[in-house]
Amino acid sequence: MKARLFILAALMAGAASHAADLVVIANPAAGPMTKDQVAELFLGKNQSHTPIDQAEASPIYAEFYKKATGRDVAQVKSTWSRIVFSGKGEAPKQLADSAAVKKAVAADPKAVGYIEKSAVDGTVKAVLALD
Amino acid sequence: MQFKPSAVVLALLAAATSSPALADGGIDFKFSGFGTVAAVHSSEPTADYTGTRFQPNGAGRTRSTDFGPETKLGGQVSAKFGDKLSAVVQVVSQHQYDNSFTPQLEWANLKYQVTAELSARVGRIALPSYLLSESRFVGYASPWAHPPGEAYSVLAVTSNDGVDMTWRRRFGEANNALQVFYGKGSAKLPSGEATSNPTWGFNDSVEIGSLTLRAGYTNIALDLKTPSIAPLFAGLNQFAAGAGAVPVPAFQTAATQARDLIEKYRLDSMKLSAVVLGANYDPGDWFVMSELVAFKGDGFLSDSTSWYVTGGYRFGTLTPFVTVASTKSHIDAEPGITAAAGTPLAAGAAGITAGLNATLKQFNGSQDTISVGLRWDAMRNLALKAQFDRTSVKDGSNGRFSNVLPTFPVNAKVNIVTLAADFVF
Repeated sequence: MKARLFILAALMAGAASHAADLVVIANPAAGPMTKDQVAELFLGKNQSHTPIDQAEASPIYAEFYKKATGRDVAQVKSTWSRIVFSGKGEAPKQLADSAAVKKAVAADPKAVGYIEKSAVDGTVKAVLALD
Repeated sequence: MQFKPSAVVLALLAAATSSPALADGGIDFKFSGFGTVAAVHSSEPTADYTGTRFQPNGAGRTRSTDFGPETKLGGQVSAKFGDKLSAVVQVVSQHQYDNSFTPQLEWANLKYQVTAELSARVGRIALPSYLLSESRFVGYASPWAHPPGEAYSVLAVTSNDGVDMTWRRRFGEANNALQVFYGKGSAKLPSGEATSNPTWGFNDSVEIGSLTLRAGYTNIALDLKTPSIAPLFAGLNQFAAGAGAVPVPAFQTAATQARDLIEKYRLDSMKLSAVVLGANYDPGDWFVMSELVAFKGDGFLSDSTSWYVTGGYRFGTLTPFVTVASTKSHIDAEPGITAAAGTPLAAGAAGITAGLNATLKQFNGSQDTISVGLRWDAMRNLALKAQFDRTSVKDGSNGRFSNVLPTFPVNAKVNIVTLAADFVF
């Protein structure tokens, strides 16, 4: 059982290191952000910006949360269910793909999202690299 | 007709929803839900394990394996009316006092964001006594199959009708939230009713990275209507009247003692308060959490000290955890009506004294529990849990058990196994 877990963990680590580099994006007027700031924002601990999520089932969602917060999808879900069912807030809006996230972030000075590094263009600003 | 803040909120909500000013895309509705299906098995056939103090029966005596204690279903609708105003309504169905699963309105409140840092709510609001008060019914949001009853059943009422204000501010790395609340609450018991007016308090929580620290104070003026204690008071009143009618010093003193006992153990306007200190450290791969409850109570609801420490480690989708919990009531034996000794009243006085001490024992919940368990995040939105609790009842009390038979062992040791499926949608 233990050996199997280790193999699974090794496979997962291997898969993650081969994934594309991610960047956190904000409106072009925004300043840089730290990883801690991004983690707080996406775990509901800070309401200074509006976090924009990718689809929960997408690989980029899992990768972002692992890199930015050190938490896997189930933990993130558990954290947000605690916030939502405390009546304290709503989980970030999930958009279909990086193009939709980019469009939403470009349109809202307070929005923060994440996309593949290769998808960044002049409409948004990369405020933190996650690799 | 009683003032019902929740009804007011529902009316306001209905008015706001139909208001033409907000009809053009200003309202953002969200529906979400949570639930638990859980089987609980208890090894002790002479008493029931229950999930809340309001359940009339549970696992052990009534059924050795029971779905009643922890199974529940909750639904929540939240609505945003522009930037400042929002509302939330939460309905929860769980095994309750009348042996039904009739859904109850757990919350219904309107929130107004006064400034970026200050918000106010009115309506039915979660009573924020504990670290996890506001999500205590949401199994999916916690590592356990059920919260440690030692701490979480001290203040068993979960909602409050009234107002609250929260002030959030960031100090460097620390996110601070200060909350004050005032209102009243009520809860139906399997036999009788508890109402609190007022219930008020405040709490402060600080989040610094993965660390959360919380300190809270809750103050309750409680009226308890329990028919089971009525005969004891009838006896005391009869004794006080009878002894008081006899112009002999010993009789007069005994009558005074009986009247003092009626006042000491009165069931209305009982003053209760609790200080709860909590800490949670959760850097991602593992967590530890602890709470300490210092409770002060009048009459039968004696002072008590309760605490738990829990910790777990996350191996991918598997999270094993361990919890140690304890609650201890500080009860001194009631000497009762001592002045009647050697008089013809002695037998009556002894009966009343015995009745008082038996009732004190019923309210003494002293017990310790060691729990081990495993959470498995089996699927998206679904967690499966197995938990084993070993509860040791202390000090000749009945612990947190109910429907206790006279054959319940002294210092009973009870094994409780819970298998639960928690989901959110």
